[in-house]
Amino acid sequence: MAFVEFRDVTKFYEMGGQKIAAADGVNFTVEKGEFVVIVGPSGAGKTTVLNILGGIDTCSGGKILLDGSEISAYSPKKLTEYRRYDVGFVFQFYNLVQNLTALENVELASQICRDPMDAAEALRLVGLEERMKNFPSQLSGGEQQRVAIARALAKNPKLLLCDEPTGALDYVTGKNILKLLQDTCRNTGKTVIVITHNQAFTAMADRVIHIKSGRVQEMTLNDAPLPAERIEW
Amino acid sequence: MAKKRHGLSAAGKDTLRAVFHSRSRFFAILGIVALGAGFFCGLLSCAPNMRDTVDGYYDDSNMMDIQILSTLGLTDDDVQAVREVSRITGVMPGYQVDTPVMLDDVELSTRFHSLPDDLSEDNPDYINRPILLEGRWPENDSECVLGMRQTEEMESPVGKTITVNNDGIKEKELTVVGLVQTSYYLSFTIGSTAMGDGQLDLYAYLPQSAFDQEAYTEIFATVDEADSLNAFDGKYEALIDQIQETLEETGEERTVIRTNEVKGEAQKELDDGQKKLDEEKAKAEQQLAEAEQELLDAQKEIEDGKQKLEDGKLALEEGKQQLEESQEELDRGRDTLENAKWDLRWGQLQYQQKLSEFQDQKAQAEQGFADARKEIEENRQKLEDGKKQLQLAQAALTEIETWISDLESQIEKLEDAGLTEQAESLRETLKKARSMWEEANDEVEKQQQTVTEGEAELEAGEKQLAEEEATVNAQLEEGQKQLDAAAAELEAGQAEIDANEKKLNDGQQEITDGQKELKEQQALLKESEAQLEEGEQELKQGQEEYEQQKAEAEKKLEDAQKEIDESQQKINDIATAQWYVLDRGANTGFVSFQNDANRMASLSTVFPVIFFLVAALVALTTMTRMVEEERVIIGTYKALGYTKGRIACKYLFYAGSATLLGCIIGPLIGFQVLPQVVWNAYRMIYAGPDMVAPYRVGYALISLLVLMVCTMGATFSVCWGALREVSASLMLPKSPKAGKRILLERITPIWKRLSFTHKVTARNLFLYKRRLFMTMAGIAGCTALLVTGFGIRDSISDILDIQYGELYHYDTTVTLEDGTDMESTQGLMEQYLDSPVFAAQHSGEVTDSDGNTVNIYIQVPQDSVVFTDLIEFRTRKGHDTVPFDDNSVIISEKLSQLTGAEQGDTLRVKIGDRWRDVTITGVTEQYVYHYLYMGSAAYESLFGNLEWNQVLGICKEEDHQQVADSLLENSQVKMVSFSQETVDTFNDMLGTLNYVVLILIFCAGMLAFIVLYNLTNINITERQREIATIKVLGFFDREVSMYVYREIIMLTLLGCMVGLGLGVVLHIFVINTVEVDMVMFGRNIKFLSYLWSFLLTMLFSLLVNLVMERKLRKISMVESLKSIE
Repeated sequence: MAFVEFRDVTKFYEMGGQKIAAADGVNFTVEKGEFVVIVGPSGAGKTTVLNILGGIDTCSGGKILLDGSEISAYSPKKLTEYRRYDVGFVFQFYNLVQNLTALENVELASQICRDPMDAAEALRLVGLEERMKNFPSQLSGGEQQRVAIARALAKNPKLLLCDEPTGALDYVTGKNILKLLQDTCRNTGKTVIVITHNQAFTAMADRVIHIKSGRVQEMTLNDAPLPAERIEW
Repeated sequence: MAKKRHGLSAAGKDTLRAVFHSRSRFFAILGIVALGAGFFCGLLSCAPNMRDTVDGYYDDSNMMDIQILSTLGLTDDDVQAVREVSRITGVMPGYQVDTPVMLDDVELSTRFHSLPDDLSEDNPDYINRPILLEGRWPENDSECVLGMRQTEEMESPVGKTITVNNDGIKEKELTVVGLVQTSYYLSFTIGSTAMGDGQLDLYAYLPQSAFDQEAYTEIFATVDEADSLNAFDGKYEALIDQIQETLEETGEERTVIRTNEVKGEAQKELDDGQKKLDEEKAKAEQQLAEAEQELLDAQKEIEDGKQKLEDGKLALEEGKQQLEESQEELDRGRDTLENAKWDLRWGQLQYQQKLSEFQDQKAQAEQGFADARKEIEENRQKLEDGKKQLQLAQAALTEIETWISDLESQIEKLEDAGLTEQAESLRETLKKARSMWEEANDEVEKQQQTVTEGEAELEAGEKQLAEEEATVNAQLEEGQKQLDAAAAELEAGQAEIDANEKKLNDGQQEITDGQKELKEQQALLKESEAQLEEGEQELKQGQEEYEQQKAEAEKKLEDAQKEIDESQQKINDIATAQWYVLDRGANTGFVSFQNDANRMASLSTVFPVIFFLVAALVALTTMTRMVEEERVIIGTYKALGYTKGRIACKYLFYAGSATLLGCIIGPLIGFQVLPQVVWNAYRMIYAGPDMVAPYRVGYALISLLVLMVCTMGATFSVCWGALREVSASLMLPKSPKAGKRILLERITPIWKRLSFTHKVTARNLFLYKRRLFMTMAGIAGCTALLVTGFGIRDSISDILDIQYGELYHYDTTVTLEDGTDMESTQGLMEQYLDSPVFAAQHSGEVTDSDGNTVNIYIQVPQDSVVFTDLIEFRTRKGHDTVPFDDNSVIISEKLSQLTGAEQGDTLRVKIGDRWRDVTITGVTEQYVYHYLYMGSAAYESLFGNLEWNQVLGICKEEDHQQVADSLLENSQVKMVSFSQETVDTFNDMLGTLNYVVLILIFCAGMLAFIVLYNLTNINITERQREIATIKVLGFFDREVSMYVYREIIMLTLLGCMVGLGLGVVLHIFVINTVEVDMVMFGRNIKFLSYLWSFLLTMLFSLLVNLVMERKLRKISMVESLKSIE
């Protein structure tokens, strides 16, 4: 049985009296420990899929299963717990709390979950042990994203969800972040799902899901994914 | 703004939409502005409204501008003289009489004023027109209208009859036909008077003809065009001052004339009086002399009687003596008699004994004789018997001899015959017969002998007996003779005793009779003695009466003479009359109202400052946030080529329109609500009309200007900062304010213990200092208002709780009639009151440090020790006992404050017309009225004689009314009052303050709500991303709320602390401002009030949080995290 399974997942928005489908019957599966890249053009519904999977949005129809549990049936409270214990998020704009240092930002996450990784250890893992005491405003974009990744990792989640993690970063830094995510997947065996509109990222994924107009257009498995250093765009 | 007629420019539309799209922000500004402006306008218009209302009331009622009083009264000529003074439009002469009246069996100090004959509206000489509240105007001299403070539960006096006893008023009974209210007595405290407890309870109006006075008491006058000026204005005062001066000049002329008039009349009257007095004096002296003679006669009569009585007494005594002596003699005779009786009885006893002895002897002797005779008889018998036997024996012998002779004859014959045998037998029988004869012969012989002997013996015995009998009989005869003599003697003794006894009994009878007579005499004497005594008593009474009457008559005469002398002196002394030309400044109601209005004015300047300050801060933070949010738009406008001014216009319009709207809505409400509430509170002490509450555009404009400057200034400064940046940098999101280390972090032990959320809170607090300040100011203001509100209540209730709970232990005051002596009422007081203390209470005056007259009470207890059980003298701070004894002088704390006199200082006090310097020995805590407590010795040494006119005590019974009724039955009791009545009055006052407190709580709540709502709103919108992030991280709703609220709670707590301190200051200020002269408010705020203020502030904060909770819930994670705008 697949680790993650989407079955005919739909999501509709009401906009000015019109019903718009952000997800219109999405089906896919992901296995445990895979590095997955969901790719598609802007407005294809990638983020909707990720948000629903991450428990910060709900679907209008269909079923989502994670490790055997049906997330789509969760109550808001249960969903909060799900986010709290099972999911790690990395956003395009990092979303760090400005008033907390790097270490404290990581602690923000680690302090609320059951089996957290040590916050300092998480930062060491992303190579920021030197900058622990710094506030976000004192860090570069890449560094901030690393703090965000450390914050996600510190929770020791089942699933690491990344929404355009390199979107606000320059090429080199973006590459470093991708490497970090890939290494994390390889080294810790966590399932990592990355959303991007950049086709180049597909080369490094174990599984690539193409989404277009709210549907899964194609799902391919990559037997020989490239290491992140090797991909170019 | 609009370039085309048919629509707004695009930028204009954007501006308008900005308003609609951020309503809550817009309303935050509008709200705080409305609150500030409303509060400012409302409070500030209170005092002018009060002044205008009362000025209008004065004008409508043609209130006097000037009142003239004269020491010698005023005449029609005076009225005419006043009328001729220029600018005087109306002149009304009037009478004024202060007298007690009885209404429903209650004595009330009342001031009667006269009503002119013409009560029409267009009569300019009808001044101080009362307003008829109920009933009708008086139509004749026995009808009146009353003015009094009416309470809801009070029965209307209309239709009742009041009794008056005053020479100045013709009728003794007046019917109340109406109730009035007059501008002349604006305050319910009507004024002071010389009678009763010194306070007027009522005022009344009578037709002018109902008075019986030789001269007018007063003249009221109005001044031309004075009604067009505000009576509380300086211009009015200046105008009146000018007229006053003119009138005083007129007065100087008039008074000389008046004085001579009065002096002449008085002297004539006095001369008549002196003549009458002299006549009366002569008459009285004659009467007295007659009475004295009568008394002397009576005295003599009594003395004679007394002498007679003495003589009688002496005679009686002598008789008694004699009687006693004869009684003694008699007693002695009785003793002798008794002895004789005893002797006699003894003699009789002996005689009886001897008699019986004699009789025994006689009987014995007779028995002996009888026995002897019997023996003799027996012997004679025996002798006789012997003689018979002898004769028998002789007869037998003769027979034997015959037998022998026959036998011998026979023998012979026989022998003869020869029968010799037979003769021999017969011879033998003859021999035997012969022997028998022999024997019989012997016997006869023997017998013969015996008889002879017996005869002899008998004869001897008879002889002996006869002899013995003779001796014994002689002896007995002798004894009988002796006995007879003794018996005779005894009889003689008995006779003598009987005679003596009779004599004694007669003597006794005589004595008894004597005693009886003596007793009668004694009774007689006693009677006459009693009579004499009575006579004496009568005489004494007569003498006393005489003395008394004499003294009285003398005193009366003397008094009369003294009076006449005094009157003469007075006439001599009659100073040239003095006119007092008074303005409204002498009217109690006017002055106290003026003071209250001024107090209100100063009070209304403090509070709005808080609101203005907070309004400015709210506008500043809100607009800052708005400009920050709209950086991109500002940049775009700039890029599109709009000028800085045009762009700034949007935000200035935003803030300005909110301010303008607020400044319209706020005052609209404020002008009506606040002054009305305040006026309603003041109407508990003033009898005035409904408040005139105009919209004072001036105040509204001032508030608009101030608030405009605040909000626009804040907005402009924020805008300008943004506009100075280049367009490009504006297009980029403004980097979030960098996190900073705060001082707290240096204290590692504390910092380490804080969780990250606490750390965020701590850093946020210091990061956004402007917001911190705004919130602190808002919350502190809120708490301070609450503390002040509750504090005012505490201060007032202190008066009740401390004054009547802790300081005054007595609850009953009995006012006595003048001249009541203590001894006669003491018992009555003790019957109904615990620890009653007689005291003298007088009204007096002192001058405060500003030179104003302060009315005070002087209370002097008879017993200073028990007095301290009834009133506690202590210092307010520390509650140290202030000692009080007969030499002490203690003043109340407020009086000390007003006059500046403290322990050891001297204070000039006026009682009656005497000014004296009093040395203060202590200052006591006291909240109601100004009191000067004096020991009796201290009083007497300064002011002379004391007369107790009241009794203080603790009522023994629950039923006060019953006690009052029982006490009032005594004619010396004038009035009974209970502290409870005063407590009730103060409770009314407390009721009015509850309005004020409610207003303050409401305003505080609004303030807190607006400030906190705004802060939270900003906090949430500004940190939407952050909140969404932590939601994504899996924070529960409660944790998310606390993440935001912790900051607000911290700020609320801090603000509260500052506010509590600020409240204390504000409270003191307010109390000092609003305090009325007569009363000292408490200075302390109770702990509970602090607690309530704190809790209410927290509650407001909580309410805001509850409202904001929804907003927090609504933050969508998806929307917030999409991207940065």
